[in-house]
Amino acid sequence: MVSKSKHIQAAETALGIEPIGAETKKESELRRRWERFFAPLGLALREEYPSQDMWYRIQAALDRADDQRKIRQTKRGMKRWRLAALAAGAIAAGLAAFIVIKSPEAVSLTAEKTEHYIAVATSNEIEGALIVEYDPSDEMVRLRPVGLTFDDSRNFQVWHSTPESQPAPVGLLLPKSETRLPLVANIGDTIAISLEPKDGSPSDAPSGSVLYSGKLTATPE
Amino acid sequence: MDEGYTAERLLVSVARKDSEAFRRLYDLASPKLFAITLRICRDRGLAEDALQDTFTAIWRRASAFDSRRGTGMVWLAAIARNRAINVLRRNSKDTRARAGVYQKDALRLPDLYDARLDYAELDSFMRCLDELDDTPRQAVLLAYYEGWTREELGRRLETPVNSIKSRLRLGFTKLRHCLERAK
Repeated sequence: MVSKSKHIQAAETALGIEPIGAETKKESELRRRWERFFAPLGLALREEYPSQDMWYRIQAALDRADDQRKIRQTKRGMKRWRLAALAAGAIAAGLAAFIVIKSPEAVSLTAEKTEHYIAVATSNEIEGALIVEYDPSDEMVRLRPVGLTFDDSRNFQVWHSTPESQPAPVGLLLPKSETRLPLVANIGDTIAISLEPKDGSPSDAPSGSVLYSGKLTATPE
Repeated sequence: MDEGYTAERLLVSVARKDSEAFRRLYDLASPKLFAITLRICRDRGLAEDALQDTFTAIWRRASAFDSRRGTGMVWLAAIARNRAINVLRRNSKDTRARAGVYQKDALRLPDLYDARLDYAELDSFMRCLDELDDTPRQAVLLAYYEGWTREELGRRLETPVNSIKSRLRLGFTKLRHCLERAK
């Protein structure tokens, strides 16, 4: 038997007069029951159509949220790695172990399957990051900048290198949410970004400073 | 739209992160959900912000949908309303004045039409709502369609907040008894 006051509370939250706070399962069920009571009012409204780019806005919002999650996951991974490295260093102090943390840093995610490769390229020096996803089946790399500031006078150029080779140009990063470029790459290869003149590096090597780099690793699909 | 795709079936697929089902659900539900966010926000820009929040929430929370507790559209409508109210309250200072929600027609009922709607359900709800006194009936409609807080309802209906609170409580009890009788 549900008390009258519980029903009133549920009706108030279902209507939005009171905010939805922490709820027990029963309170949540009761609120949903009131939402069902009120629902005919909303569902009877004449349909309205949002602007045509709405669907793409939703996809972009989900991509951004996913990128933020990957960056947080990577940073947590880095923190754990550093803590583990420090602990190992302390234990092996007598053996004079050295831990070198490079900057720009190369980071990677853990893997369960190997259909896609991913890298999250970040830097200790500047904000922002680059999410790199590579699909070996179509030999295309997708690059999604997060928090990078583009300006008219310079460009970000993408580079690819294997453990044995020097960086080779892949293309310019476009000032939009995603850039797709053709590339043949493997796990362990490095993707880097350098700041270059508007038309890109005048040579086949980065002429400006390398801002971000990250190593491709397998990622769960 | 293929009539075989219901909101319930699509939500089950969306819960498994099926992006094609998500697109179909968007095509199926967005006109109705946008009608709800637009009715509450009264500004297309804000209503689209609310719709975006609604669908990102649906993508993340579809696994919480339980068809035993109501239809898919009811579940989706509740999310859309909550998101619209959040967006409205974040932007309430300037948009309410701009949207002119203090107009006399604020209490008018919307243009109700939907060929797929179960009118018996709407009819029984409206009949039960009509049994309420003016103040709680208007308060329910304003809160549902405009997203008003209790304080805003008090100002709009020129009634002390405590009086709004007690009259609404009586109204909810009466409404519940009526709706349960109507089942």
